[in-house]
Amino acid sequence: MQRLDLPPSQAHPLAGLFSERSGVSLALVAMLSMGAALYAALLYAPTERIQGDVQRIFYFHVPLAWTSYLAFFVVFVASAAYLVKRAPLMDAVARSSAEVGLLFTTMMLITGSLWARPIWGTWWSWDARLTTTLLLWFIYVGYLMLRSSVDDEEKAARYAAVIGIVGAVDIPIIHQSVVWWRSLHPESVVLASGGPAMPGSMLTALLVSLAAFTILYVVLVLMRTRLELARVDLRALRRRALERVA
Amino acid sequence: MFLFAALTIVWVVIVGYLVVLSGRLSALQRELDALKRQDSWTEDEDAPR
Repeated sequence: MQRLDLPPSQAHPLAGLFSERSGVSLALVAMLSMGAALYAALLYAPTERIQGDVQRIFYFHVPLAWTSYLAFFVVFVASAAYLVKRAPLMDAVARSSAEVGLLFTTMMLITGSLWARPIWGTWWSWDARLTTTLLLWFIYVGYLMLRSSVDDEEKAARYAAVIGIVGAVDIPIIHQSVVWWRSLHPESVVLASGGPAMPGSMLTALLVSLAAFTILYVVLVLMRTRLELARVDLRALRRRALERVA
Repeated sequence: MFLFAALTIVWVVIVGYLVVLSGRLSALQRELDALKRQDSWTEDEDAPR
């Protein structure tokens, strides 16, 4: 019987990125930057005159929204790459990014709702931005449910890749929803025509928080991908053990 | 109160996910190492003496 020289998870030039060493140092950077985000949001940024302290939710809600878009864009790219190359690493990245993206979208919806209650007087409104975001949440809940309900791993990866590509179409719709339809949701203040419509200190706090959440996203996806690759190796070893017994 | 609730939820979810992920990762890694060891022992037994 031949020994496996290279585990299936390592059979990709980018597999080294998901090593334990890179994960530990990135986790430290993520912790430091999340501390900086907390400082920027709670202490550095000035209190908004009309909304008061509740406006500070914005420094978490907006970065969560941006990183959710990033996560589902990565799912889109990795899914397309998987369909073309059938590399297990691409499937692992897509699955990991979908899980982290769903987590971030869930937090984005909750923080948005917590902001809306004191400002709009309601927890939820069937507004275009909120409804299309909820649709995005359901698409990726479906993505993850499909992955765990289909026994054939290769088939599940193929079907999920198609959902990952089609689901990403919702992202530009969400982004443009406040322009295309009448919406309660505030329009973009950072990417507003004519430059950011907020004071410099608020913009700085937002950018610090945005960088922190992006690093956190990268760390979580690296950890989750390592987990996924370990599962690929485990399956291969189990299969080998079974073949040997047979 | 709303700001405090939002912050608590975000931090609890992030830390909780990190803890769950680390736990699953180390459990899987242990199982993987055990299987690899078993695999190499079998190889040694198969090898000509």
